[in-house]
Amino acid sequence: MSQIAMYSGVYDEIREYAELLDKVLMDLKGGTSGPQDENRQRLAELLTSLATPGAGDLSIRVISFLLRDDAGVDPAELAKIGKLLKATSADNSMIEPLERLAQSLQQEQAVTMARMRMRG
Amino acid sequence: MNEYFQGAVKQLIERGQLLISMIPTGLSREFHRLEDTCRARLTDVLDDLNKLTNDPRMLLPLNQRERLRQFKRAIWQMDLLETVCIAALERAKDSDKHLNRLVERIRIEIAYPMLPPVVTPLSQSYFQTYPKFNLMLVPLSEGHFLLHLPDLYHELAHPLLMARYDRRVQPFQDAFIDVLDGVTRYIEGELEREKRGGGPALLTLYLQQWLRCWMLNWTTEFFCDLFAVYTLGPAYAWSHLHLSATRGENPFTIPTVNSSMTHPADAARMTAILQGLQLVGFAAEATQIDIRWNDLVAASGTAADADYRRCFPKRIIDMIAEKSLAGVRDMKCRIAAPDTSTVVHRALNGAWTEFWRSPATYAEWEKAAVENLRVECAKNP
Repeated sequence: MSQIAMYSGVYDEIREYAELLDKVLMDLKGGTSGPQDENRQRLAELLTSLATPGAGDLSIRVISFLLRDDAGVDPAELAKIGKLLKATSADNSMIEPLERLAQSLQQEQAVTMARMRMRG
Repeated sequence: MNEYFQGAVKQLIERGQLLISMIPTGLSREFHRLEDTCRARLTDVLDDLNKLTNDPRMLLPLNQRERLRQFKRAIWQMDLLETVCIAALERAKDSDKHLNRLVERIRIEIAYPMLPPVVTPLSQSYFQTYPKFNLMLVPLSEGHFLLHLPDLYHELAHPLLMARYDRRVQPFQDAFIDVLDGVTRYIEGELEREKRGGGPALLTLYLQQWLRCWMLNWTTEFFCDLFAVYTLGPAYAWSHLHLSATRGENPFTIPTVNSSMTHPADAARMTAILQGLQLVGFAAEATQIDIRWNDLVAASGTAADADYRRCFPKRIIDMIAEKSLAGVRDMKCRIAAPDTSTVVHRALNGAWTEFWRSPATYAEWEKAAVENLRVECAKNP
């Protein structure tokens, strides 16, 4: 498999969750988010999986690995937010750590894109 | 940022529409699915771009970070669709029907659990697969030869690892996750040892880099190699030797701090391949291939060092061979055996037998063998 094909696979793994995160962030900021929202439920599952070593499917594991040395991402904090997303209405305290996670995913996507372009 | 988005998004929408208009009409049937995927994805990208300027929420100052991130993702998607999908569709008219028939025949022979990818001769860098597009690119002339075609089996394994919610491929993915866990435990143990021993910081950085390679790329490549070994047999090992001889670098290369490697070292791959052959009853063939491989290594003047052995321990490679075999078996794929005698299996393994039996006359023999394979693949299976 070529390098560009391989990196496109990693990018795809990250992109889906980055999109989900941005949708939920906008809903939270706009005050239009409820605990039963499908996107919010999916994000809650993702955050819980990211915080649980050895949990989740392959794409979760890839993302978890990529973020594991990221100082801006605290798995325990993400797990807590995962619980809050499932249980309560919007809370502004969730936004800042989720924003940091979104920035980290964006950074990983940028690195992957740079690798593809370098070799493409 | 509003003015910037107004201008940039409009221009990108023009570009997306141009790309849709570039999809050729009257494509042959095997390309219909790719065309459909390409149109649907471009439409999604255009919808997302439209939202960036038309959705009132996107105009709010508090959503500008999300807006910029979505904008970047849309551009990347469009880039990929243009450089891979549209380019493949544009070349569809030159597509080698034989290669598509060949892959379809392989799918049937090995009981491949998914749809076969569409094959197009667009590749400028050997074989490659884009599982999300169900697209395989091969070099322009590959359909006229046999010795590298075993790599089709390797490429077919990539989509198996990326499929989601498909119970048929779950055993392969479960085996893959088991291996990732095993490799992580091994390297984290080595990192702990370095920490306790107070060794050079450089070794710690090496180990962290190796773990990254194992997690993101190498385990996948080992699994695809072994899928090919288990479903095709010795021809895949010979093909790897051939690839290493013709295009490979030092077969014991490992990444250092500032370098990365998308593929494991060729020697480590061969170790896994030979172990896989032994597990499915090709011990005699594995011995023959090992002798030729050692000749090649000796000719290259290279040798394994301690770092290589630490990066690719034999026990980890053996574990990969065992777990991936269980995964392939549990997917109910056909495992190659010495008495397997289906059309493509026979042609590709036979080609390597003939290559070694009479190297000087092989090229002439191959012409007739390719023609025969074309005729066989054109028949209903």
